[in-house]
Amino acid sequence: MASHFENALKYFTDAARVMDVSRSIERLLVTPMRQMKVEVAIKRDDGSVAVFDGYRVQHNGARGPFKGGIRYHPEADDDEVNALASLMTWKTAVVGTPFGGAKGGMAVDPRQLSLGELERLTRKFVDQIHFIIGPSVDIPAPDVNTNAQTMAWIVDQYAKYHGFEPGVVTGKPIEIYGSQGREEATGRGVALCTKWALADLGLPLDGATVALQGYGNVGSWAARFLCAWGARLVAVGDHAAYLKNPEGFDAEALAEHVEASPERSVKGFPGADQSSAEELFAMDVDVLIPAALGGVLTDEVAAAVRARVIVEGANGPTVPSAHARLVKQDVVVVPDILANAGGVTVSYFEWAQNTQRFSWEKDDVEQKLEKQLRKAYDEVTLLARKRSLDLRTAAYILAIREVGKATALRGL
Amino acid sequence: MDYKDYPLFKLLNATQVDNFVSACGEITFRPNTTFIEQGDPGDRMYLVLSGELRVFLDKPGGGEQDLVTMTAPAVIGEIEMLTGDPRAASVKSLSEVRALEVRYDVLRRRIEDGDPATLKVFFQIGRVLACRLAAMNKKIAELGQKSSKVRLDDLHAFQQKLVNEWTF
Repeated sequence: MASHFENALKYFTDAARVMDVSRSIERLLVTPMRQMKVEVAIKRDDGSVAVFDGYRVQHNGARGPFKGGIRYHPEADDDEVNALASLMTWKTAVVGTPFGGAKGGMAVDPRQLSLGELERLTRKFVDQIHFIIGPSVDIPAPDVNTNAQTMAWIVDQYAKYHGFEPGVVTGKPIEIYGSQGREEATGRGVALCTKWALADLGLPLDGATVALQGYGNVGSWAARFLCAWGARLVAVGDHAAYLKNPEGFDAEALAEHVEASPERSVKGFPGADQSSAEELFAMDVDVLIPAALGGVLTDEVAAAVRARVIVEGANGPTVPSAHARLVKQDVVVVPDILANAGGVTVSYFEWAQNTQRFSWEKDDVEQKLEKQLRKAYDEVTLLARKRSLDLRTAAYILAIREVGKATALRGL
Repeated sequence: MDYKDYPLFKLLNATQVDNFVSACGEITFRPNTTFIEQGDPGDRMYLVLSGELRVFLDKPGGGEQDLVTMTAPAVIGEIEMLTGDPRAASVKSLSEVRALEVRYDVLRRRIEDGDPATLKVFFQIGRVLACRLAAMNKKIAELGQKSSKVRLDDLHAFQQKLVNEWTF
């Protein structure tokens, strides 16, 4: 996995080189503003004491308060959190949300802890970082192995120090100042980018064929929107099974099947043929959506791709050398920092609603999301056309431009 | 690998190699054996003749952090043997590993007896450690250079570039 983060930095460096940015400025943009490391000790249910390393990295705050998820997983370390924090700086800049980039993490395997232990751990972590987060300072969100419940604990613990401030995190449950439309936001953004990319190629969405890896939150919502708009999901795969159905899957029924399955997998969905990851990525489809893991599109896999469009639902699914190959093969790759930015965009709306102490209707959230993403998509594609660049390089350049301008305007 | 080709024995003749090897004793680890445990006393080193090893740290709160994977020929554990510190990391065999186990008390006795072969081995160890220190110094110097300062006119030029070349 480590390479995924190096990859993210590689894409940044490539874009900076295209812009001919001086090395000292490049370094200024890549270096995080603040790195915090804490040791979080909790009492386990059996009475023993366990200590975990926690991190919060605030990368660049020129465009606004820091924003980025908190993840719980055993391999979390400062390198990973650093790289992901910088990725958030570029992502928030591409979609024009008024935030800087941050990321947090705890080196813990949450499956080894009881719910009570996880709650104590989260609250203790807040005890140690509460003075560097806040609605106008740094706003965490759910990430790998954290969810709306985790955010609820953070809100509650933060309130003990600073009073009730729901805007301290986003991705909260609807019951305590969460936003309508937040759950499906990332998938909706992926589906919208797919629609626009097909339209730019002159391909109709109605009847377009889609192969999708990953049927979790992002993949399943993207599939549901695309199928509702007339596309045909012909192949799908996840950690437990790969399936194909040339007639097209019923995306709603498939989502219900995954929800009910003990493995939370598409495995065993009736009426489909068995397939494989190799077959899915090499399928003759209009759209390929990797929405599971990073690093799945390697050189070898990329060489076999026959799709016209790839929309990156996952973070970092394509390694840099494979991306170069895909560009040469004339495949349009809508990059992660644009394609899956629907989540952070609705996080912005959640924060705005919290600041207003007002909640918006679902329609309102959806319209605003589409408008904001469309603007970003248009800017990225315009820049790509003007300078004959691929969409990823264009997206990074756009991000560097926005962060660079803000940094320079504010001064050192 | 044959003992006479082992880098640390470069200055020894065949008889001296045989002598040294028989004073130490060869040992074979099956795959997935952790033969150095972090925190244990470091009273010996291993001259690895064949196989592949993984050096790692036990992370607080569980799990392991990989430091490096090594293949033969390699020297393992010489630093703590010389400093007397507890083992800084754990070492596990990834394949079958054949190694010469060199105990500090054996080495000491032979040095006190004035054994020239042992002194030559120590000379080579000294060289290995000196090379590593030199490489590390170079790296530190490089890191120092990288933190080059941003000048304000740099920032101004960058701002102009963004506006003139990259804004439509």
